[in-house]
Amino acid sequence: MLARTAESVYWLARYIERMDNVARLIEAAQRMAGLSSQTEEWRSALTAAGCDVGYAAKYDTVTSANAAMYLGVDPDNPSSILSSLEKARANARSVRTALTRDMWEAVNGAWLESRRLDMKALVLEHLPETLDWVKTMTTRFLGAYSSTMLRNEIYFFTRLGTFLERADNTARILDVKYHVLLPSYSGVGGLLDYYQWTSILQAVSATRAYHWVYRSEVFPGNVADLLILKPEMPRSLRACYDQIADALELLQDSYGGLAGEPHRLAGALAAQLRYGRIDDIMKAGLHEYLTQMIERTASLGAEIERFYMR
Amino acid sequence: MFDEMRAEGGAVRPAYAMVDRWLKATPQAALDAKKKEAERLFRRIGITFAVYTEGGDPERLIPFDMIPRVLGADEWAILERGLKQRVRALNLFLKDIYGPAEILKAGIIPEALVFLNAAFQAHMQGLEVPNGVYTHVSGIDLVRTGPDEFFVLEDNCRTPSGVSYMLENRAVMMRLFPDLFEGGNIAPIQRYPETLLKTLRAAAPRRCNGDPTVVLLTPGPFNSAYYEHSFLADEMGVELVEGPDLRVQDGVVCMRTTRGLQRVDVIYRRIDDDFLDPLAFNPDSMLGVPGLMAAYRQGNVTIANAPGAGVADDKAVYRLVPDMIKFYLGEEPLLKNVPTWDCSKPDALSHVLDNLAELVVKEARGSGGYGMLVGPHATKAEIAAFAEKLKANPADYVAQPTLSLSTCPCFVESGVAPRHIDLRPFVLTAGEEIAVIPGGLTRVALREGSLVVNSSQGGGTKDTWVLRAPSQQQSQSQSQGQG
Amino acid sequence: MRLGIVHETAYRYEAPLERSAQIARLFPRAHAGLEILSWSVTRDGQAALAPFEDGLGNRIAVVCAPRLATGVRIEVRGEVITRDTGGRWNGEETLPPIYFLRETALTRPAGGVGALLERAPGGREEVIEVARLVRGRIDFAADATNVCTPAAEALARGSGVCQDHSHVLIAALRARGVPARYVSGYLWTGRGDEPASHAWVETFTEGEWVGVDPANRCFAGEAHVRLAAGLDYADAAPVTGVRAGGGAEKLSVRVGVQQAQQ
Repeated sequence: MLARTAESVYWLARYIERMDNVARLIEAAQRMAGLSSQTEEWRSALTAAGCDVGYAAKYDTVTSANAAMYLGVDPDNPSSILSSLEKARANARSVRTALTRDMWEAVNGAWLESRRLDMKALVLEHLPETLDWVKTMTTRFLGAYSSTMLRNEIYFFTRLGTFLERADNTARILDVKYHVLLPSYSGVGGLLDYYQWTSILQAVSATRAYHWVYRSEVFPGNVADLLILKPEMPRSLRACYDQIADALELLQDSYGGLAGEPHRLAGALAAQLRYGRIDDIMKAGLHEYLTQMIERTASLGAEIERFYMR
Repeated sequence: MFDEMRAEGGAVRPAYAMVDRWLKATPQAALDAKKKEAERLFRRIGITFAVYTEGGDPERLIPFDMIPRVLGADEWAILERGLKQRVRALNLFLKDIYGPAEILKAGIIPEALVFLNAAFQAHMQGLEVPNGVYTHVSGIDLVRTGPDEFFVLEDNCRTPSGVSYMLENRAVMMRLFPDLFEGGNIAPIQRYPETLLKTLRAAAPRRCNGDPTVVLLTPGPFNSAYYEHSFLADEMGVELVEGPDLRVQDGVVCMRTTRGLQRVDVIYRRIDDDFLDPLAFNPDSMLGVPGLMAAYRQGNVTIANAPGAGVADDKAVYRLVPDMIKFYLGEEPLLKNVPTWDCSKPDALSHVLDNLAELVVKEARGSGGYGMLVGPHATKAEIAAFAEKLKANPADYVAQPTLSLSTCPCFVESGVAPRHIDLRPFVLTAGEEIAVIPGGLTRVALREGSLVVNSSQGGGTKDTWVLRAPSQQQSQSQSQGQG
Repeated sequence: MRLGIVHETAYRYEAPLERSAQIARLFPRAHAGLEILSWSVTRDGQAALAPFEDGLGNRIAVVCAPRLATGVRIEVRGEVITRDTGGRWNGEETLPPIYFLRETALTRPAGGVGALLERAPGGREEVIEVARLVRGRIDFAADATNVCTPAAEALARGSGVCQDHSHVLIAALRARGVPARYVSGYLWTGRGDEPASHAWVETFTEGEWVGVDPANRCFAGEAHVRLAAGLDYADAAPVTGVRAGGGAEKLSVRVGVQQAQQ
C-alpha cells in the first residue's frame, strides 16, 4: 500500500473526528451560557480545541458569536469545522478508490452541502441544528467505514486516525478543566461546581454514560476516572488507546511482524492506562498527567507517520 | 457523403444488418425508453465508473449515443494491418532519431524537423530502450470517406486517452442489450487492461530481475483524465502513484509504501514529459521525480511511453509518415495520410491562403480542436482573421483538404439522423508483438453538419463493434448428447 | 600544462532536508586538449560517485542527500594535463550541430541580442572578433546578475560575469544560424583573485566545434578544463538540483586550480 494512501486515510479520519470534537465543544460551551461566565466557557472551548492563540490574534475579546464563528466556519482557523471538512475531503479525493462508496459519499455529500449552504448564517442563527448536521455527518462517516470497509490495512489506518484524534481531544478537554476536578478545588460551591463538572461530561457527550456507570450524582473524581480509565466509555483515554494498540497490532500482523517505535509507545500507554488508578493519578498531579498524555499522543502520531508514511 | 450504415439508395450495408434489425424491431417509444434507461444505467453501472467522477452524481463527461458504429471483419482486417504497420514504423523512426538517425542522413526527413522540434528530448539520445519500443500505447485517429477510403488524421504517441470510454461504452451496451452480444459475433474488447499490463511488463528494464513492478503515474485528482488513470490502475491491479510517491535512490526508482520503499520497474506515465523529472526537464516543477531520467538511462526503470515520443506525432512530421513506412519497412503504406500542406513552406502557404475557404487549418502543435479553422463552415470574417494569424506565424500551421467524414446514424432530438464520426483505435506494442484492440473509441460530432468530434467541442461517443469473421464466431448449436 | 583541481560545493540547510537531488556535471571527458591523470568526485566523504553519460554526451552523476541531512558537500579532486588545440574540441558528439540552434529561456535573442552580429562569422578569426564584441558590451561585475539572468537582460545592463558573456554570445550566434553551446569548466588564472569556476562557448565553425572564451577574448586553451556542454547554463551547470524541506540554504563554493609539478 502506498505511504500516501495510508497518510490520506489516516488524516481523513483525524479531520472528521476533529470536526466532531469541535462541534461538541461548541455545544457544551453554549449550553453553559447563563450558568457561569460565558466568556470563561468559550475560552475553555477555544483552548481545548487548540485555537486560543489564533483566536487571540484575530479578536481582542471573547464573545460567543465570534468564538462560534471562529471554531465553526473561519477559514483562517486551520481547526475550524469547515477547514477540517475541506481537508478531509481533499484527502478523501486523493485516495478515492481506497475508500468505500459510502465513506466517500458521507464526506463528499457533506462537502457539497457545505458549499451550497450559507454556513456563516447557519452558525449565527441556527447553531444547534448546524452542530447536529455536523455530528450526523461524522457519525455517518464512522458508521460507513465500520460497516463497509474490508478489514485490511486501509481500515487499520483509518481507525488509528479516529482514535488518536479522539484521545488527544479527550485529554485536552480534561486538561482545560482539570482544576475543577481537583480535590483541593474550592470553587464558588454548590450548583456552579456541579455544572462545571457536567460541562466536561457534555463536551464528550458522556452525561448519561456517567449515570449508567456510577449510578450516583456527579463527583469530580469519578468524572476523571470515567474519561481516563474506564474501558467501557468510548471516548476515554483507555478506550482510545485500546483501539490504537489493537490497530497497530493488526498492522504488524499484516506486515509480517514489522513493528517499531509506534508499537512500543502505544503498548506502553495502553498498559499504563489499563493498570492505572485514579487516586494515584490525582496524587501525582492531574495536570502533569494530562500534559504528559497530550505530549505522548502527539509523539505517537509523529512516530506513526515516520514509520508508515515516509 | 459516405454513410456507415446505408449505401446510396438506402440499402443497409451487411455489417449493419443486426443494428438494422434491432432498430426496426424496436418501436420508437421503446427506443426512447431504452435511451432513458441508458442514462439511468450509466448512473448505476457507475459502480465501476462513478467512483472516479466528481460529485455524488456520476456525471458523464461526454454524451453517449446508443447506436453502435460497426466495422465488418474484412474492413477491420485491413485497418488492423495498416495500424500495426504504421505504429511499427513510428517506433522505428523514434529508435532511429534517438540513435543513428539514418532517415535524416538519407534526406527523407529534414534534420530541423527533428532536432529543432519542441517534442525532441536530448535526454533520450543514445538511450537503448527495452525492445526498441518508444510508443507502447498509441492512439491513431482515423476518418473514413468511402467504402475503402480510410485516412489517418493524426497519430498520438504521448499519452493518448479515451480508452476508458471505449470500455465503459461497451459495458453499458452489454447491460442494455445483452441479446445483441449473444451470438458472439462482436469481437470482445474487455481484455484491454490485461493486454496493457502485459505490454508494460514486457517493457521491463534490462536490470530488472524477476517479476516487474508496474505503476501508473498520474498528475493527480485535478487532472481531467484522472478517472481514466484510476480506472486503468484498478483494472490492471497496479498502484496509482503521483510524483511524490516515487523516489530515486542509488539510481533505482522506488515507491513509498507502508512497508518501506519498494522498487518500481515500469512506469506507465500519464503526465507530460515536462513534469517527469525536474532535474532533466522543468526545474520549476516539483510534480516530477528528481533523478528519474538518470535511473532510466542507467537501465533501472522503463518509462512508457518514452519521453520524446511526441516527435513522431508532430503534425509536421505526420506528413512524412508514409515515407517512413517505405524507408523502414520497404512496404507501401496500407493506411493513407490526408494530404497536408506545411505552411512553413512559402509555396504551400500561398496555396493555403488562396484556398482557405475549402481547407481545414490546424496548429502544427496543438490538440483539442481549438486553434483550428474549418474553411467551409467559417464566415468570411473568420477566414480573414485566420489568414492574418497564419501569415504572422506560418510555421505554426498545417492545412488539409476538408474531408467529407463518414456519417453514422445517431439518436438526436428529432429521431435518428446521420452525424459525422471518426475512430481512435488503440495500439499496444510489446516488442515485435503488436496488438490492436478490435474497436476503439468512435467520436461523433453531435451538432448537425459539424465535423469537429472533440469532446470539448460538443462531441459524443459510441460503442464500436468489430464483427468477427464467421470462423471466429462461437458455434451456437451444440450437438445433442447421447444417452 | 599539468593542473591540480580542488572543487568543493557545500550546502548548509537551516532545517533537516526532506529530500534533495542534484545533478553533478563534474566529470570531464578526455580529448585532444585534455588528459586525465586522476579524478574523483565524492559526496560527504563517501565512496567516489560513478558517472554515466547523459544525452548530450556529458558525464554526470545524480547526488541524493540522505533524508534529514542538514548539509551536502560535493568534493572534486583531480589532476589533468591540458594541451592547446586552438580551441578545437574533438570529443565524440551525440547530437548534430543543428540541435545547438535551439532557443532557451536564457538565450532568447530578445532586446538587442538578435541584432548584435550583422552576419555569421566567416571563420575562426571572426569568431574571436565577435567574442571581443560581446566582451566589449558587458563589463565584468560580480554581483550585477545571477544564474537566472537571460542574455537580453545582461546585455541591457551592460555588466555581468562569464555566464552572461557566454549567454549573449550564444544567443547572438544562434540568431545568425550558427550553432553554439554553453560550456562549463575550470580556468587556470595563475592568480588567486579570479574565480576558477568558469564558463565559455563552443561554436560550430568551419566544420568543427571551437571553444571560445568571450570573458577572456581568446580560444579555449591550456588554461581551460572542460566539464560539460549544453544549450545554456541550466543545461550544463556543474551542480544543479532540487530539494524539499531544509529551510534557508547557504551555498559555499571553493575552487582551486593550481599548476602542478610536471
